[in-house]
Amino acid sequence: MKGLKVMALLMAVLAGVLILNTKAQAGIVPGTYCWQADAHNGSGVLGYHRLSIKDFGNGHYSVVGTITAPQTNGTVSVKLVNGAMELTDANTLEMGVSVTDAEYNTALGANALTVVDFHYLLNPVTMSGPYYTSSNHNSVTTTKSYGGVATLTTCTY
Amino acid sequence: MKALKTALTAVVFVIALSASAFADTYGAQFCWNMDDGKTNEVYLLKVGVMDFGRGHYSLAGTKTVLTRSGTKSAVQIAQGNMELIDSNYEMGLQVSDIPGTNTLVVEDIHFVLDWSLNGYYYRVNDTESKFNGLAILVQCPQ
Repeated sequence: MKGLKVMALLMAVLAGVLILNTKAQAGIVPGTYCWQADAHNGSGVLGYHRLSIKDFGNGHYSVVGTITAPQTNGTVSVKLVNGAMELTDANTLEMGVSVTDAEYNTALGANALTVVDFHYLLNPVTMSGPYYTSSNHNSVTTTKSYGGVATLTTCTY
Repeated sequence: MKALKTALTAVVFVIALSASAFADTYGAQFCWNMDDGKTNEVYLLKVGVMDFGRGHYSLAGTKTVLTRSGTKSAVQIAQGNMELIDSNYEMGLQVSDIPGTNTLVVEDIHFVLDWSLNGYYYRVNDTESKFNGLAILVQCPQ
């Protein structure tokens, strides 16, 4: 009888822990996610976005990772990504990231800083959706932005 | 005196972080009202703060655009970091949004906050050029 009481108490504690854990994990599950980003002009795959998501609490998430893009000359470009993800309403998961790299600039004839900004409007269930990006962002000039589709995919690279 | 001020600033922020979180900084959240004197707009910055140690803090959150009567017109995504520099906390944030018509809007904001976490900021974006204003620490609304 005493053993039964102890077991019941343990079960109650376990249930409490599970409920608390579920509450803490509500929203996006932290981990590494990958997206295939299609080019805005329908010309195929622009690159792969591999981002690790960390839960800051209160619906705030930090993201860091890389964008890998095959180049026409056969090389692969890997750029660094950092940003944030928020559930802005029940139907929209928004992610804003900044992408940087030091790349060879043919006009300059030397390596130069490349900064690209991305903003994603994702379905919270499928975590896929459209994204918009600007190339070589400069804060004081108007940037040309265009969009594509980011599809959640298995991380295989 | 300067070292004392710096130490005091650090202690206040660490206490604020500890009071608002579990054992680590999970769940720490801070809000600021931002006002750069525009007749029609004010902003609410709401960010989660994660302590990376050695005075480095990562930030993730939102900047909400409001009318002065309190009507929400946009929610933008904000990310960046905070550092203790001399006796001030400085925050560098990048904000982005898709306000409609397939246009990406990006903004950079830099805050200089004193020991009370109040201070001023400079912001620059693609469509409105440069602004500066006051950042006042407030309790985060639900």
